[in-house]
Amino acid sequence: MRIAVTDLDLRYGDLLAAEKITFDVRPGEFVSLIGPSGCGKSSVLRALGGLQPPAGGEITVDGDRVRGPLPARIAYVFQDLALFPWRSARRNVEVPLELRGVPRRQRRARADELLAKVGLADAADQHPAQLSGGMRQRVAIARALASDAGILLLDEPFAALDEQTRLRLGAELLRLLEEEGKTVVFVTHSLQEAAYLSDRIVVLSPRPATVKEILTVPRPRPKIGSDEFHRLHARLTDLLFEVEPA
Amino acid sequence: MKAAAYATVTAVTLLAWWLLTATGATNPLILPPLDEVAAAVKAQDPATWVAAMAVTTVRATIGFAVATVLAVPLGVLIGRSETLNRAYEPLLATIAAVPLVVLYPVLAATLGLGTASKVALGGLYAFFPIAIATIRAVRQTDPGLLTAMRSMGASRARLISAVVVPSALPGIVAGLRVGFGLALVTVIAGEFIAGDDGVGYQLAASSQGYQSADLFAWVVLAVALTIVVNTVFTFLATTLERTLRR
Ligand SMILES: Nc1ncnc2c1ncn2[C@@H]1O[C@H](COP(=O)(O)OP(=O)(O)O)[C@@H](O)[C@H]1O
Ligand SMILES: [Mg+2]
Repeated sequence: MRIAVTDLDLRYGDLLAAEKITFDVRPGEFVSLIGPSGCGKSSVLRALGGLQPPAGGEITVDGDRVRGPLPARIAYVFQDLALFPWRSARRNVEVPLELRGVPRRQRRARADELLAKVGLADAADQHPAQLSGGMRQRVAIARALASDAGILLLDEPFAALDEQTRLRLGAELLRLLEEEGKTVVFVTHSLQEAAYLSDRIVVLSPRPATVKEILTVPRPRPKIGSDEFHRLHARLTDLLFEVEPA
Repeated sequence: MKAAAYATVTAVTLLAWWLLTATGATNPLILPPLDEVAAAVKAQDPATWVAAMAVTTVRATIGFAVATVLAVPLGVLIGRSETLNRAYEPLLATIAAVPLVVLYPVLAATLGLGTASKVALGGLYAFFPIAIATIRAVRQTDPGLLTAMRSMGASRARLISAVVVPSALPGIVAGLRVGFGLALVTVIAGEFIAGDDGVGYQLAASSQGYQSADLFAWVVLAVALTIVVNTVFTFLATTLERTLRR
């Protein structure tokens, strides 16, 4: 699954949210979009998911132009998770399967399998309100996996969590997504998260979002605390806090 | 808990009634002694009051059912459209505040003094609160849930059935409860104003003859009817929520 974004402009009425965004995502790659709050990261991600029409430029997935949601190829984890509060964890994970017309028994079995995979086997019958933030997060990820889409778009999925949970979940997520061979676009405003999860990092400017630079993270990924990691972190800090020449 | 609350209210009411009448504090023509009313309830031919209650309940139920079938879809339609909502919500709220019972003579003149005009009055009264509650509940739908459902490939119809309706259901049910209560009350009012059967007619007939104990017997029966109908309603509403919100 390859995504190509070319000269993408996004607008809300008169407000320009993103301008001439160009980058691509190769099959199996983990690409982070990083930038200050309000710069237009979520807007770019929504456009990738076909939820927001471009004002200019184009987005293709495996060569096909994105004109609307492509549920068979793209799954989403939203910033606010968007879990259905009246459904149990299991029934939330079943939604993409229901929409594909998978019969009830198989749906249930698949949902339980995915919940087990994210470590929630025991919480299948709980409703979102009964789960902790980290557990809700996992339900949302299991639901995205249920769609069997090759591409996963994640919008600050860990923003609401404390630092430890965030790091642990991030590492788990990375392992899981590599196992499943997913292509990932990950929005964050955390330098640390971007530095230890990504293959490449697209650094965006303040609004309107433009691509400032695309950094490649060396393989194997630098460990948190290593010199390599600090260099990457420092480079990202420079890029994000750089004052534009007047 | 609920049963205890009902029992307490009933006990306090009966005690107050007994005290007021037994001490001679009230005119027995206005508030007859408890034992006379009990005797009057017993003296009623069960066939008479079962028939009266059946007539009234059937009329209220038909009016309510027709109102529901019209008001809920209309409410969903208006609630989903910004334009329709701006135009119609205030209009509906205004009409709902008009004492439509003044229309009863018109209804009776066009539909006759029998069942049709009572059903129409009950339906008219049920319609507005149901429509308004539906509109307001539909407008509370979390747009994030709609976006998420859309990203998973849901059709427009599916967005309504899988997101809007389950999300709005508690609000709609609250409207249905008010609507049914109003249908019941206004059917009784219609029967009271004109006609020759139903709980309202029996109340009117016994109040005209200064048969105080008889009148109160009918009041007691009407209250009993309301409790039974309410219990059935709650049961049906709970079943509906279980079915649609899972
Ligand atoms: N639906 C919308 N209507 C109008 N403006 C919006 C909408 N969504 C986002 N914006 C604006 O677009 C800009 C970028 O928003 P967003 O993409 O959410 O930024 P980020 O995710 O980087 O914080 C912000 O200024 C925001 O206020
Ligand atoms: Mg955002």
